[in-house]
Amino acid sequence: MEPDTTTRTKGLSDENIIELYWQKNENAIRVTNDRYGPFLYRIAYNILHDPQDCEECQNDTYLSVWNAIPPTRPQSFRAFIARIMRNIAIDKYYEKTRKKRVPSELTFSMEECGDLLSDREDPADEIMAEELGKMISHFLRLLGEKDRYIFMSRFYLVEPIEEIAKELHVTESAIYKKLTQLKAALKKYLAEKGVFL
Amino acid sequence: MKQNAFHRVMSYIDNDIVDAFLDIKSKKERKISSQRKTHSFLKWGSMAAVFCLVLATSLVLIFTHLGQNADPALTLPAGVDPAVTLPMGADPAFSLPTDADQILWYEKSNVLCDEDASMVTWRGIQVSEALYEALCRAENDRYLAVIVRYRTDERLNQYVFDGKSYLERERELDALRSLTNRYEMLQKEGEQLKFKERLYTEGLADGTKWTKDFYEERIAFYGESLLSEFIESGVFLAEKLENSLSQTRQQIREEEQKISDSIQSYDESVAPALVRAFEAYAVTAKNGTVYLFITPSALASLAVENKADYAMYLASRAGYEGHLSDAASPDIQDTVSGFACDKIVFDSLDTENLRPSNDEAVLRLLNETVEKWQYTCDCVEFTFYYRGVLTEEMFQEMRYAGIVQTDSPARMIVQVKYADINTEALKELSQMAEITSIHIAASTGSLPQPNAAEDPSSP
Repeated sequence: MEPDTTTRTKGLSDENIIELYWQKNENAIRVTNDRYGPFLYRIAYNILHDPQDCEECQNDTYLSVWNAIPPTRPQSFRAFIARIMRNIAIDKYYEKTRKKRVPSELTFSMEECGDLLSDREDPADEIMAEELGKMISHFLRLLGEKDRYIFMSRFYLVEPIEEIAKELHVTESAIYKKLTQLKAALKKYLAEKGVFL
Repeated sequence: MKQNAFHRVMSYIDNDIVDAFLDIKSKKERKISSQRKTHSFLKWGSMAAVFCLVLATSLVLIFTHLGQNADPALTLPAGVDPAVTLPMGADPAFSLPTDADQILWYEKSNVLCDEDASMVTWRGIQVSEALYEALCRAENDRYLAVIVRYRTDERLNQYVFDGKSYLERERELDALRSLTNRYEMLQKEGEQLKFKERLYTEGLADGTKWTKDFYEERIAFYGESLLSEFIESGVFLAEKLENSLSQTRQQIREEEQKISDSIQSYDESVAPALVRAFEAYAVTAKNGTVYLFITPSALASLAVENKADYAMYLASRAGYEGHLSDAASPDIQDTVSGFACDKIVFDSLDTENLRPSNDEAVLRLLNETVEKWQYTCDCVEFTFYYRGVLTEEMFQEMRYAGIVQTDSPARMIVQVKYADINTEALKELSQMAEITSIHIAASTGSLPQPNAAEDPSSP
């Protein structure tokens, strides 16, 4: 009798899931969806606000992960798939906004940080994006836990300010104020590095 | 100016930062829900008696009602108590399966629902992970057992119970926990801090010398007023501090009980409105928890006002039927002594980690970790940082369920189920010279599958 793969794969660790991808075992996608489907959906939803688009992005993400592993063996599977989902959702967002303005937290979040990078920095250049990512990572390491949390909530998960404020039991204006301070600090940090602006 | 550049760059943040952030995020999201759940369990016994009384009264009323309005289309599933399932739908097409086994329930039997999970939006409704999965997979006519709550915590935050809002109580509790943390740290550092600036100028007779920056950081952490309360004229008042710590812990227990009462009272106060909002469907309230029995297709076309205001979770049958099982029977030895306390850190869900100052504190924090998380997490994770070469065999006494080899050669994570926690083994490991620190936290991850994990009892 065919073994019950649902049961057998239930407690798989991320390392085990990666191994499934390496073995080109199709269960890998199902297990990824079981464990991270809602998480990925949430990332996409904050950016796109459209269930159908989110589901498309989820499928595209699974396909990308399938194609990427092997040869890639990500150290953090969750961060790896989150990055893929973000990029796909952002691409989808650009595609849609070329036609019309869509209501999205990303729209507001982009407006908040529009002055951080100059025209010279081309985000489509992956090498450049990685370099900039490292810079911002270093900046984030300099922050306190709470500040880092606020920054990541807003600019990585693209969470609504209202949600962040509720989570931290502070007012929305306090979050706005903190984000303004963080952006100013990041701008200064980047300027000191002489890379931007 | 490229507004969009920044967001693309954010995808390239270092993985460890993203991972740490997502860990904290999920823990924060669990915080209120786990409190709700834990406190609900605490209240369960006392509520049972009240419930029985309500049940008996309702049975009489409902059987009378059913006798007058018998409708074969509106049959109840066996196991779904007719006394509490109201009002059985105004929609003539509505009917429930006749067997409760046909209803899709949340699989766990130790929780009411998957309320600790993150939420996603499905057809304009906030649904939990398990419910989302059920909606994606279940047949359209399959009935799902759903718990309905108000989506926003704002109502709960503003809910006043015994003269204070829930939010005020949460803040007070946070403040008390923060104070306890400072007290516990001062127990360790008080004997040094009593020397004030000498700590970084001349240093102490035993060779201790702090940097000025570190000294100032510690002063800022405690605050001048707290320090002056326990350090007078160069004398550290350890006994006074111990008394204050005991009092604060007692206050925390009392405040937690108040919060528990507050949540229960809130749930009961909003249940009637929730039932009214869903009265066109099979809806019922039990102990303040509102249950909805609905198919995916009916939920997709849910006809209630402001449906975005609600959050829905997949309900467990055990919770509905009132026989939640204990997730674990922690049996932590409480007489062990001799921990190398300075190596042990309890990773806090809040901003500061907790560092026990003595054996009693280690055991208390371990118990608190289990009490707080036994319903939402599978096990406790002990993260060992070491200098030498450690092998899995060294952890056998920990009766581990799994060991995670990390990407760092200096770190090993040992996952132990609550019932298997062996404090004697923990003590011995803490005393090993190679181990530099042990971080303890409830695990939010899954345990390795049994056949994948090595059997710790085998050689």
